[in-house]
Amino acid sequence: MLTKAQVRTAVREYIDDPGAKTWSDAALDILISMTQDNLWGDILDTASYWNSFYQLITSASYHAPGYLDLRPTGDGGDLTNRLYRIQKFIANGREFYPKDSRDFLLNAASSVGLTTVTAPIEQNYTYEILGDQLWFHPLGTTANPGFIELRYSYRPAAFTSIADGTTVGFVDGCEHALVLTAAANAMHRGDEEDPGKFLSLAFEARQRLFATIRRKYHGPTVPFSVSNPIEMGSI
Amino acid sequence: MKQLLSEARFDFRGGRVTSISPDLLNSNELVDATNCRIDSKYGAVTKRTGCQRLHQTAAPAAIKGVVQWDGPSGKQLVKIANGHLYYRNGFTLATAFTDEGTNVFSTTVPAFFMPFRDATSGAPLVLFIASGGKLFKWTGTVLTDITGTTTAADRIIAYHTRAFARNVNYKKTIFWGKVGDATVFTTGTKTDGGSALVNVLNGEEIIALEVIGSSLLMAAEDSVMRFTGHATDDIVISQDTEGISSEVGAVGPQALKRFENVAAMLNERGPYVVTETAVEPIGEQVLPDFDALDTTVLSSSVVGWNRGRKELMFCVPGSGDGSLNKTIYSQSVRLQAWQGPWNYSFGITCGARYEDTNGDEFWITGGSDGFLRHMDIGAKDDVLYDGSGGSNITMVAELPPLHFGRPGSQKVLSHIKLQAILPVGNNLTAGVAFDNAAFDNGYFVNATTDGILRDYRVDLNGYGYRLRTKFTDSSAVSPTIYGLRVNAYDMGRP
Repeated sequence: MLTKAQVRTAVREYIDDPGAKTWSDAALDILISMTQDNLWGDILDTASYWNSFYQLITSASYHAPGYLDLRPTGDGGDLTNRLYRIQKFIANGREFYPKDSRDFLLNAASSVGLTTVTAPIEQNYTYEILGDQLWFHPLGTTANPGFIELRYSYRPAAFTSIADGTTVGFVDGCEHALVLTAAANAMHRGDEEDPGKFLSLAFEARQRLFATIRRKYHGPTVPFSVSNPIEMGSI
Repeated sequence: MKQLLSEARFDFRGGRVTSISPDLLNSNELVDATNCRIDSKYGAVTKRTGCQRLHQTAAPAAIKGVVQWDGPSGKQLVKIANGHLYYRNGFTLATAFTDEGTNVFSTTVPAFFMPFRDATSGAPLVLFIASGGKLFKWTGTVLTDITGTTTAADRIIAYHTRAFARNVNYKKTIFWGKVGDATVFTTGTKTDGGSALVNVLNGEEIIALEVIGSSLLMAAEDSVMRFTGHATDDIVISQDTEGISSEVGAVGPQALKRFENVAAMLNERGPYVVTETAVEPIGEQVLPDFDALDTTVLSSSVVGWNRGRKELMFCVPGSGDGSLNKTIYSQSVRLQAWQGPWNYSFGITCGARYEDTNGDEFWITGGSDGFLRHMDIGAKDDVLYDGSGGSNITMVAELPPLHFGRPGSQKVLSHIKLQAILPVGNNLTAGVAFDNAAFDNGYFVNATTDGILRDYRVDLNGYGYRLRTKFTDSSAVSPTIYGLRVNAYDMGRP
């Protein structure tokens, strides 16, 4: 686990800019932050539940006529973390499913932002994501549940928003992928220098990262095998 | 990937040049050399040396004259201040100067000194002093006013075994004394004293006297005359258009100074060198600097000669010097290159050659604050007599703008590879600025400062077209820059 300062210093060493004359700390932090988010997208596409968070939302926290603000609370939303993908939505104990986007005609009421709905014209027990908002049906205060349970994958706190001494949210032991990819991006500045070798190294580190996140156990065992798969080199 | 461009500077022997567009300067010249000196190892540039007070207690008033001469007890320092003569034998700075006691010297105009033998052949060396219309003889311990038997001198100089003087009441006439006897100026035979009116055509008074080769130079405001000959039957005074110059003269009594076999002179048109036949301008590289001086007090300028360094010193009143000579423009005579301005906190009123206890040659000055100072010692200014105190000197060396061979094309900086001696405690900065932006200091990577010539990497930042590079140090030590290579990428953008 590396701290923010350690990651930044490692990137500086790779790009040979110890005095911050090419990249200021602020600019480099933004670059590392973008790189971190990109890699987290790859991580969560490969291992959907690597960062999965369960959040209970009470009726007081969602919005009439029936939607959640998917932004983090720090940005004025309802979520504790930075949403990547919704994994499960349960309202009042009933699981909702993503609305079929082909039901666009029935979508009209919520799409135009009606706040009073007298007839349940939407397909019940579905949700749809409109920008930063997650609308769930049926709408209306009488149909609103008392509580919502949400599970979603998320990106950790942005690199730019944490303190120098705070541990960077990343796959433990695989920070090299973050450092090298950020270094390769930094070398691109102004198309001055060739980032090719850094890209090669970053690719290797990224492959190791994926190998790490695919599974956390050693794999299936084979009955009556003379040895376990690890020893046979199959993992 | 962009092309890496590189431009090197390993020679600063051209010195300061301000009279030519910075973009037109030669690669070995400097836009600014404030408090810099072209190093004794030619090619490098370093901080000028500092100065140290030669005694503990200030004289009661500004020093009006100083000389080191070979007195009866060896080297003796003599200074004139507040109407008094003060003297000290030897080289011990802790020893106080002795006040001769009488109040007879001018407190307003400079005193001039002439070591000369006494009245008879084989007599010991004595010091003659002209001060505001009086001529004195100083034996090293006894002061005698000899104005009555000589002339009301305010200038004195030895030439061809005679003393030559300007009379304060007859400033267009040169007076001379008896051969081998500076105490007698009375006329008579051709070996006795005499006088001659000079500068007849334009009528300007004699300003300064100096001797070079076989000639006595007499500088007026706008001319330099030549006096040659031993006696009345062979004396020739070449003046006006027949003289050395009918165009330029000396701005003040201390603005004409012999060095080696010629003389340096300050004219309101800049510095010149005077030979026995002609004058030559020597300050064309820095004329704007001389043009910017405080001309209202330019006549108090002092031209000095640091014999050990082989450097000319033009102590002049800068525009911000409060009517004092707080600024020196120095010329390295061997390179004929300029250094400076050298900025001081005190005014310089006079100067003299100085030989230290080891026989090494230097230059000392008298100050408006009553102190004598060794002007070529250490790395701090105005150090006290005991070596304590003093103030740091800030050097600034700015290179001509770099275009990397591609003016008009945008460059992005990478780094400098600097070859320099950086002593412990230095705070040298390498500032870069594109297109008149503010200077941004580079970052010394893994800088070891140990006073050894090393290679340093200085990381830079910035985009632009025309790069200015400036080295600054304000520490108590003296860094030396031997050369550098600046690296940048060509962005390929117009």
